[in-house]
Parts: sequence; C-alpha cells; structure tokens
Amino acid sequence: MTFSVKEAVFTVENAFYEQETDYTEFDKVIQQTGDFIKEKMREFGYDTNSNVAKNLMLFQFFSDTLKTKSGLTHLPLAYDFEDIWGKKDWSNMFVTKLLESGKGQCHSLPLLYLMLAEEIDATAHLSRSPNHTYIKFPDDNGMKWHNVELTSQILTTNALILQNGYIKAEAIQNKLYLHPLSQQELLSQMYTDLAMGYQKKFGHDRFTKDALQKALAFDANNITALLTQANYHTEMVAHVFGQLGITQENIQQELPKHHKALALFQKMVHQHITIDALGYKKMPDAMYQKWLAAMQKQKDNQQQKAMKEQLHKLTKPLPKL
Amino acid sequence: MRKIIGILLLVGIIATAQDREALYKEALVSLNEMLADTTKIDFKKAVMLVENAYLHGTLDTLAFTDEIDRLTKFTESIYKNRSLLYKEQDSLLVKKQAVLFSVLKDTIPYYNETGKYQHIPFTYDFEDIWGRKNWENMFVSKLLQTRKGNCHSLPYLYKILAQELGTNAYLALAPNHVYIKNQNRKDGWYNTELTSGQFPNDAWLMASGYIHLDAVVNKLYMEALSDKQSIAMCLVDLAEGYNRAFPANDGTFPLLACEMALKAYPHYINGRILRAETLKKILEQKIQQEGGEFNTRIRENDIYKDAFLAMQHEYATIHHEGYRRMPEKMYLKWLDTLQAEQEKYINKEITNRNKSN
Repeated sequence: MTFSVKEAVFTVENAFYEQETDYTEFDKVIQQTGDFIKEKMREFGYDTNSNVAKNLMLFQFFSDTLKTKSGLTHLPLAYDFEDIWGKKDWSNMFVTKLLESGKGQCHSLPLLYLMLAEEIDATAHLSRSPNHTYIKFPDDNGMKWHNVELTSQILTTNALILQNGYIKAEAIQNKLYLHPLSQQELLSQMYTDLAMGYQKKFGHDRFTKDALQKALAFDANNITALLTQANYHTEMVAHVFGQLGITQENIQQELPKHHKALALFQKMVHQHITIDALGYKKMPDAMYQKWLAAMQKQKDNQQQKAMKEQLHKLTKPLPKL
Repeated sequence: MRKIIGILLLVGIIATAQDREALYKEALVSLNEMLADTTKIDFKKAVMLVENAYLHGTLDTLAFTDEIDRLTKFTESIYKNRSLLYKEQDSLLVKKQAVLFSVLKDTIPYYNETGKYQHIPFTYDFEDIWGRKNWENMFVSKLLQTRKGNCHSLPYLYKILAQELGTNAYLALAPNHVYIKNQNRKDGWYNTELTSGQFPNDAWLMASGYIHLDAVVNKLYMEALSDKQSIAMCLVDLAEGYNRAFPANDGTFPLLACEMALKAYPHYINGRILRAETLKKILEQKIQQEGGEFNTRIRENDIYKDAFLAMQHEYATIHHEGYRRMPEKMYLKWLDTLQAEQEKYINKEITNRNKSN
C-alpha cells in the first residue's frame, strides 16, 4: 500500500479548515523545501544514494541554521510550548501551522519530516511512545534503526525513550510503541487524526465512529485510535446514563432493566480491558513534560556528539579501494 | 513418531532400576505428560520432580509439602486479618498477592498456643547466585531449608504458593533472571522482584540497558508465562541438572528435554541456548571420535557439515532476536540499580498500596 503523506496530511487538515486551504500552495512549499534539502546534500558532499545521508540532512534541516542559495538564513524548526495538545486550538497540531510559524510539536514536526522524506526519496517511519510520536529510520544495510527526536532536536536512543517509565513490555510486544509504522499503519493514523479533528469541531458522532473503525481495520493495535474509540463509548455511556437517570448509587438495580444500555456499558468496559491488556498505561501530562525536559538536556552532550559523528561517517560515499 | 518411540523406550528403562539416570527419565516423562495434557499441570510437582532427580531421589517430599502447606495456611490466616487500601472490583485477588508477597519478604509476628513467634522472611543469597559451585543452590528445597534463595528459587516458591492459594502468578524472564508478573484492574501488568523485595517498573529491565529492544519485541524476555510455559522451563531445568549430574553424557537426554520444552514454548531462550550448546557438544564429541580435528575430510562430510551449519544457524538466530550474554558482575550491578535509582525504577503505586494494611 502506498499513498502520499503530503496529500493525506493536507486532506486531514483541509477538512478541519473546511476546504479553505489551497493544495497547490502547500505542495509548492514542500517541493521547494525538498529541492533545498537536496541542494544542501550536494553542497555538503553527502552520498545522495545513502538513506543515512538523506536522513541526516533532514535532521539538520530541522535542527540547524542553514544558508539558502540567495543568501537567506533558514532557522531550525522550534518546539512550540504553547498549547502542545491543541486544547485551545486544534489547528496548532497541524503542519500548515508549522509551515506558517516555524514552530511545531510532537505531532506536526514528525509529519513534516515524513513529507520531506517522501520528497527526497528517503526512508523514514513514524513511531509512537506515550503521548508522543518521533522518527525512526534504517541504516543503509538494514541492520540498525536510528531514532530522531524533533521536539528537542536530538538523536535519541531506545533507553532514553524507555526511561519515561510509562512503557510496559506488553506495549512493545503488541507494537503500541517504539515500532516503525508501516504505510498501512500510518494510514490508520491519518484516519485517527481525521476523527480527532472532527471530534474537536463537532463532538463524537457516527462519523468519528466510522473513521475510527476504518483506522482500526488498518491497524488493530493503533493505541491512539483505541483510546479515542474508548472515549467515544465512555461519552456515550455517560449520556445514556444521564437520560435514563442511572447513577453510581442505583447502577446495580437500574442498569439490568435497560438491555441496550447494559450492552453499551459492557462494550465500554470491554474496550478499556482490551487497552489495559495491550500494556497501555496513561502518562500524566506533567510527567510527559518532565520527560521532554529531560530529553532537552541531552542536547549537545557527549553521547549526542558521538552519535552525530557516527552518522556523519556514514554519509560520505565509500572511497573506492 | 521417533520421539514417541524414544519416550516409550525410556519408560521401559525406568521399570528396571531406580538409579539417578532412571529418576531423570521418569521426571522427563512426567513433565512431558503435563505438557501433553495427559496429566494435570502441577508446578509444585514439576519442581519436586526436577530437584528429586538431581538429589538421587533423596528429596524429603513430605517435609517439602509440609512446609508449603504451612506457608499456605500462614498466608491464608494473614489474608483474613488484613485490609488493603485498594478498592477495585478485584481487591480480594490483589490482597492475596499482597499477603503472599508479605509472607515471602516481611518479618511478621504471630502467636500460637505456645507463645509469640516471628515469621522470618526469605532473603537473597549472594553466594553462588547461579549454582555454579553447587547446583542445589538453585533449588526451592534449599530455599525452604535455609530461608535463602536466588532469582530462580524465590519466584518458583512464589508461584508454588500462588497455586496452593488458588490464585495466579506468572513467571517472567530477564537475562539470567526470573521474576513475577501479575495483573490487576487498576495498574494492568506489574512486576514483583523477589531478590530485593520490590516492585520495579519495566523501565528498570529495559532502560538500564541490559535487554536489547528486539529481545523484548520477540518475547525472549518480559512475557507473562503461562502454566505450560512454566513447565517447559522445568524441563530445561531438568536438562541442566542432568548435565551437572552426568557431565560426560552424550547429549541425548538434554537434547530430548529441550525439544519437548521448545515444542510447548518455542521461543524459550534458555531452552534454545541449551539446545544449541548441546548440538555443539554432540558435534565436538563426534569430531573427537574421528581423530579430534576439524579437518577437510570432516568438513566435506555432509553429516558434519549439516550439523555444523544447523548449530551455526541456531546461534545466529538467537543473536538476531536480541539475545546477549550477561556476565555475573554486570548482573549484580543491574540488580543494584534498583536500589540506587529508586526514583526512576520503582513502581510507587504498587509499593505504597501494598505497604498500607
């Protein structure tokens, strides 16, 4: 299965903007950025066939200050500490907003990375950790994965990600986290984003239900989709209980009288149990921020330098023997 | 089919003599019956079979079961008199686990007709942690006698007692290590570490750098093991004991035990390593018979070539799936990080809840 990440992301965001944005413009910006990155690769003498080189260049585009041909300065893409969950304005999560302001967060930054990777023919995958997404790319002989953390602009390690303490072994075994998403799994994420955008605008209804079902058909263990779906049912149960006058106190007597409500309630409980069994554990916002801050501190330390150096070595064409 | 005939032959041998070899074969058959569902799965019995075979049939089975019964009754009596802060639907199950943990790791005063006594907890024995000097140091019977055990006997005892109490406990693996996993409504899966008596989070096992991520993904480690998988572990324990009892053996018995274990638990890392090592040993023995040198003549012989390639493939697969050898010093240092970096690695929710009674 292949699709264009650029098109998919645009479609999701444009739906939220109620078809008010222009694809030609969006497409042009991405294309030009792709060209700029390719040109820089040649300028730096990177091996243009190497996946490591392409990804290192992408990483530099996100984290370094670079000069354009016309003498302008390209600044690193910054982390936006404002409204990181899009609670005030959902469009803060969007790539469109990132392109306009040069600031993004763990949702928009990796998506832009994927779009640019697509533009320059690099292989890179989206990967999840609790409340978070980041980039994984394979080296040129397919032996090793590298991780790119775009919020703090570091090359991260599995250990660093695992240290947040909210990742259970089951979650890894069930591919909830630290797993490079395939194209199909990424498409599942696009449907989830679409459902979430709709929910922010209009609340849950049949549309979110269908979109999430579609998402889960592509990736049954998509944790974001599962959680959103569980929320949908929880909201529905709350609503139905309100209508029927079922409360904490009278639930034992009242609920069995209403077959449909009981079935709905059981469905909700079942969904929560499924999510727990997959190894999910809720990471509180404060703990997430603390973890991000800890990653921020990694910037420019010895390990980072060593990892970057290692990648640099891999970006030059091998000398002919 | 060949395997079945092999087992039948073994049964035939058992009838003749009650020596150590026969005890081993008998244990092998009994454990395999549990895996084949022809007898009930009984972890306590499995452990006793394994230890008794090594001990030439001298395991005091009465004393063993008596002590297990006593500990079970003691746990039950405390269970009745304790209340937990945990108030979810599964609170009674959670309480059982909390009390069981207490019995293993806490000092508990108690009274009977003759006066006041103290229940002494089971501690970690830093001597000979992997049974290299004395294989019996791995045994639950040794733990019951001396009150000191290791990461093998302590979780095994926990699982035995859980079985007696009619509740679940799942063994789980880390490199050269066994611990307990449980599940409750509020926290989902959580770990119980009996060597230090703590509740570490998974980051302790994964982030401290001792387990390759691929090994977690491939379930070499950190999987809550079913009862059948636990019996498969006993089979490999049996084979390892056999190798210590008969160092000069020809590899047939350990290989058969590994095959049986891996049929029930195909990705059991210790079983796969032992199988690879046994294949290596068998090959080396054959080469020895041929004059002791891995020369061209042997190398070009298809039988040896295939055996060598099979063994090499086995080692490569094990490595590819994420297994790395862990030296003893590194292991002890890792156990220590739990103490040194409590803030990072302790599951506070479980710890606090269990302490409040």
